[in-house]
Amino acid sequence: MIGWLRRHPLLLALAALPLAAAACLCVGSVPVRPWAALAGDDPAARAILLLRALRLAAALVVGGALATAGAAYQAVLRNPLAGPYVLGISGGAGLGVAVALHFRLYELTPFALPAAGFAGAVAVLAAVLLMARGAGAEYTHNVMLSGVIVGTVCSSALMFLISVMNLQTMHNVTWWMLGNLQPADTGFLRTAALVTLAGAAVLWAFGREANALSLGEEMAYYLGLPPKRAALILLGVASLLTATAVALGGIIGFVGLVAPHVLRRLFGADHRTLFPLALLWGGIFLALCDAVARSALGAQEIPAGVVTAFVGGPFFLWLLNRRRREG
Amino acid sequence: MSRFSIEAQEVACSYPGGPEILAGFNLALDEGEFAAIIGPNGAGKSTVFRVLSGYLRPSRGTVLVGGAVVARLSPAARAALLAVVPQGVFTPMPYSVRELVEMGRIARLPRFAPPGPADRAAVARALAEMDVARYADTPFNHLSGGEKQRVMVAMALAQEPRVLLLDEPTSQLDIGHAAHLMELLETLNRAAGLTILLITHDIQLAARNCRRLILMGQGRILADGAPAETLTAERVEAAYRWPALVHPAPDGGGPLVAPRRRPADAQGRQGQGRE
Repeated sequence: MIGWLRRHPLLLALAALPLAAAACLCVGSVPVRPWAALAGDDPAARAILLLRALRLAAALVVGGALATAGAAYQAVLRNPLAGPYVLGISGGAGLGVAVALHFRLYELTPFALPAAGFAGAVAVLAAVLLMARGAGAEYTHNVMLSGVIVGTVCSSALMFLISVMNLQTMHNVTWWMLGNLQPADTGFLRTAALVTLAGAAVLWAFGREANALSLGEEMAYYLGLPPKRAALILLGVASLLTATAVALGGIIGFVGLVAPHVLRRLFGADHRTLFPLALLWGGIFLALCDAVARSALGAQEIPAGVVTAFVGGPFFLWLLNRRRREG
Repeated sequence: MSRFSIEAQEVACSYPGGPEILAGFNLALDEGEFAAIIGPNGAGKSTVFRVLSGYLRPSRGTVLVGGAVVARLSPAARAALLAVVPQGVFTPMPYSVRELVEMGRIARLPRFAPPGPADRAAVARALAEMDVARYADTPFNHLSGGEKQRVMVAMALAQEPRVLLLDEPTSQLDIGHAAHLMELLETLNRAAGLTILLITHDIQLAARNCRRLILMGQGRILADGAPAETLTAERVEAAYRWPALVHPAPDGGGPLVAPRRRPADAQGRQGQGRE
């Protein structure tokens, strides 16, 4: 049975998705039975259910985007410590939001904060790719160095802004960065979901390129690829996914770093399977963590990123040690 | 089928900001040859490979693979003609041996197609030819150095290339694994007519298995011919700056080469350099 599931990991993920979704809809600070709320006439129960469904959708999108992006970064940069934020995207997005909050852009449109986060992330991505453009053979190495540098500069700028802001704005920036998966706007949620699906599809289409690049640019060249172009496409799409996730849910750690590792250990490293699996399991994992985050302490919510680290960390260490003992 | 060849013509090459590693370099390899480039560290051997494979663009001169300028070939067409096994390929990913060898098919697979019967056959053949078929489902990182090296060669063979370049394929292997690999390569060369060029520091092994030895020093070819012609004590000493013993092998294979022990009074001066 376990062997069969390992050979058909996508079926397992597709079966787990509705179960996890149903579980997430049931729990929260107020207990609601989804089927009863749908059948009954209680408007409050229906409203709560709708909020939860939107939040569930956002968690699936954000978790899936981060895990898929993390898998791509780890392959192309050949670094197991690479995660979605390695190219400085979180710093750029945070800076964008801080600027938007500082100039009170949110008074113009509710769309302003995610848009500013997205713009900041894309600006950082552009700067990183531009800085690394001249690099010849060691392209990915240069991209990563540039990313770390741009990210650090952004974080410093953010610290500077926070230090001169008033308390309320500072509080808002901090809360935004901690992440909140309740989407303010369904239109933006829909856009983010479409971008995530499209981005994951492109990554899947370039899965073989990711495989070859994980052996190094020189080997990828010998195998018959234009390595620089393939790396640019994979990194660019992964960064767009990250920027989308950050704009929708804030900076949620751990999913993008650990989910790909866990999936590789369970189901193998071929990126043609890994990318779709990361999309599904990343989403399921974040949805479950978010369910814990909004129900564990009653009405008091915990940031979802805290739960992802508390749940994912020990699980990953267990898996790592189990494998080490076996092999 | 016309005869296939790979040829460097008047090639000059340097790394950015560095001196010229190669200048006026000429080398032609005919279909079916089994040749090795030997020479001291820094002689430009690896640079020759990077130029022949098109990874490094020469600043002057041209490289022709099967009559076409290598830089103008599409990546996929290039990979179908020429496969390279570089030194010390590393990946942090836990690929199985089969997954790795399948990567040799990348350039031949349409983007959305799964591997077909021809691809699976090529992978199975490559695994068998390199004697690693029994490890097909083993994680690559669990293998020993000798097995890993054979898997890397199998990945290159899955490309079904016309010419195979190997950069120091035996440098991490013990004498048994090294001889095994060289024998497998020799079989490929004889049975399938695969053209093979390798770089090695193991003069001994190259002399016994290859039919042509190219001795390089300081970016140029010092000698080129059958092992017994290339390897004379004077040439080896001049290239490596160390006295050498060259002796015909009792079994009739290529000559045996060993560094000569210098007299005790000369050893004391060793720390002052080899000049």
